[in-house]
Amino acid sequence: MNAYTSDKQFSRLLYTSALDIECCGEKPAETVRRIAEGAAEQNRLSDLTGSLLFVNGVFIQILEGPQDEVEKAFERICCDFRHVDVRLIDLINVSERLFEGWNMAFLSDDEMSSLALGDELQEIQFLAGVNASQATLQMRSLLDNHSAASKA
Amino acid sequence: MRVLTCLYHEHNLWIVALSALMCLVGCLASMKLFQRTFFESGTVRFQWCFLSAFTAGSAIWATHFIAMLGYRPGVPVTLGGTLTVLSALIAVGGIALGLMVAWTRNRFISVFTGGGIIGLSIAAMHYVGMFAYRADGIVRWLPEYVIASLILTVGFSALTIDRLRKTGDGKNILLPAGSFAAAIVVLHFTGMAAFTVTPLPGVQAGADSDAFLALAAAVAMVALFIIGAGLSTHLLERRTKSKSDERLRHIALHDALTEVANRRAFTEALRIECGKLDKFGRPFALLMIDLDSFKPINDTLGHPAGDIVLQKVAWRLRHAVRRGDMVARIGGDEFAVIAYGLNSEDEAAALAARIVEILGRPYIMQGQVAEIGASVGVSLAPDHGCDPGTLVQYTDIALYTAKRADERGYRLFELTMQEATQRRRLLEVDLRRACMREDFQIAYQPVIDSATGAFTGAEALLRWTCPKRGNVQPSEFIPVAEELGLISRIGAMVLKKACIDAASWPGHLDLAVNISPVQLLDPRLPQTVFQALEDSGFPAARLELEITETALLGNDEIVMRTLTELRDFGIRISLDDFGTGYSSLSYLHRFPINRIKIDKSFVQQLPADAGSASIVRAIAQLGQSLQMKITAEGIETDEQMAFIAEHGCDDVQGFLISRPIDADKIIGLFQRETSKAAA
Repeated sequence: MNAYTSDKQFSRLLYTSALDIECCGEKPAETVRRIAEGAAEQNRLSDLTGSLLFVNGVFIQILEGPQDEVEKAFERICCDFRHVDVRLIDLINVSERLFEGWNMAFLSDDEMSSLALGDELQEIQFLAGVNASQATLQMRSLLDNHSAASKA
Repeated sequence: MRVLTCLYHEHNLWIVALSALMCLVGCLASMKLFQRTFFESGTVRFQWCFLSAFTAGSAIWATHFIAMLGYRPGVPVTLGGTLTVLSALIAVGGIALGLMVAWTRNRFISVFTGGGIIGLSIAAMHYVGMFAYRADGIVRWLPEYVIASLILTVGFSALTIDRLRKTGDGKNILLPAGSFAAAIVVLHFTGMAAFTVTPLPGVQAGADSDAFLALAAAVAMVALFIIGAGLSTHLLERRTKSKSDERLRHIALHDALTEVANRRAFTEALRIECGKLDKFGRPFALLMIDLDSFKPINDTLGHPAGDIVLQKVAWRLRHAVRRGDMVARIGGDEFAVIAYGLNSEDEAAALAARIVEILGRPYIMQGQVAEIGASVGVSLAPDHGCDPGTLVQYTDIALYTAKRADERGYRLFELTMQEATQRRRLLEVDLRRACMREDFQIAYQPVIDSATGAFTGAEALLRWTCPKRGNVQPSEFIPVAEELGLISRIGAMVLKKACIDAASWPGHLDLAVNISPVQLLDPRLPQTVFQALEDSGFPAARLELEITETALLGNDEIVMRTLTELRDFGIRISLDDFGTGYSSLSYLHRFPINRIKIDKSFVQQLPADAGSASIVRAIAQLGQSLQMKITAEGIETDEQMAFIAEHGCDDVQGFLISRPIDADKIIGLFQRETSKAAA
């Protein structure tokens, strides 16, 4: 415990996992969408915010919110066999949310996404492997860019 | 005969049937209550006795009065109130008394005295009731029927108690209830056969008075209420009891922490499943799961965190198995799964793989992260065995093999595993015996100065010659000794013996002793070393302890404290097998290390292999710049010797100089050299 603990009321968790291709049959894209929708619904109920990316068959997800809710959500993911190779990249306590208002933003590199988005997603995937905090910030700015682009 | 004609001619059969039904229901309720009184104790027993007596007494009383409503004596009838009430009290009191007697352990007293009292009280109730019954006619009693009625009712009552004792707390109470009903009904109708009324001449055969009807009906109704109350009390109580029984059962069969089945439930389920296999041939798989590196969680994050991890493990296991499979916690960090109806190796392997996968995922609790793994052993019934003992043993062997494998995961049982496990168990037994008898020898391999060729000391090497198996390689038995927790003892023995041996060597020669990573983690190590030095009189400055890089991984603080303490005492530390492990250069300046020993795998490829040559050169230079001594191990050829000498390794050891030899021989070797030098 340190002097800052009391301010840091939220947990932020970054993990990656791979989609188990065998479990989702013919339509991986549909499984991914279902997972994303399920996550968004669950997170709304649990007061969680964050972002879920799907790139090259790998999920990169940030979950932030009250500590016990983050832990419950992560345990749910660990019990889900649609994910394989679950890796916890980062778990920190923070004083405020970075993804305020985003129940679970979902971005994926499917055929509809633009080339630029695809590149950005790949960069984040790389960053997640080497620098967790940088990857987190990049995921945040990706949301801003993307929502600005879709409004424009 | 008269009983039947009386029944047929003088009774309204519908009402008789009603009274018989009433009697049977009353008896069933009474028996349930009687049963209870046999199993309770203390005050509660008397409370149940009171309730039973009231219910049974009312049953008798009601049977009597309803049957009397059906009696058609052909004369006007009235009822005496006082005697009617008295008759009820007699029934209740008599049954209570009879029951209390029937509780005794002595079968004879219980059946005959207890049953007798109950039978007589039924009779007393009947005849007192009959005195309350006033018929306007000439009443005559037939004594033979009265006597027969008494004998019959006592007989049936005794039978009731006897059956009740046999039934115990069993569910089927039809026999005692039937017998009790017989005691009541037979008494009543035999008693009625003994009773004759001849109408007075001149008195008209009129209707019974309204008062009689009202009173009889009221009596019957009150009795009915009492029986109902007794019955519902019993039912209510049984429901609460069965609820609390269920809770107790749940507690008895479930693990309190994880809420999965406990060891007892598991053993029972396995036994039942093996029985089903016998009868119906239904196959199943048995999996046993052991958590890897769970103990450090308890040690570092605390037991509450460890408990949460166990809960999560149980939760995840329930997700991993198929619906209906049994998950049980059978030990501290051991779980088991019975996978019903599963018989192919592939399916079992897939299930085991799921378990390994899901349990290997990270655990977080209260902001802390724990990473554990799981090893799984699998056996299949009936392929590998059909009885619980064999299956558990084989699954255990598979688990044991899985845990020892380099790559953790799951293993299906194979017969060869059994042999390997058996071999290892025997090795364990022999090793324990050897340790107890200090059946180890020490061989010494001399070390020379690469520049002058003079001896600088020797390395003590542990040797074990087992009477049964001959020479056992240290690489084979040391890991076992480490696992069995014998290594500290063996290590202490080696230190002691080696110091005593080396104390008689010429004064400029050093002694090197290997210390296993497990020993190094033992905080008593410095004490052991100091004791060995003190006992032998060997100077600390000539002792060098050889540790491996693996020993330096992790537990920095403990190891650092131990090594510093040893160094402060003047003992030198050397890093053995350098280059094969993690070879982190940070160890070299962080820990108080005096010497690096280049592993023989590099030396043996000299001088032909360019890669090994440059590694050896680099280590030698590193040693020079860090002011550490360098020893090259495993020198076997002159070329290797030349290369090593040229590149500045201080000392060398290997077969080229000498194989490891025993204590007597090495002292001879040293003395020869000393005398040569003197000459």
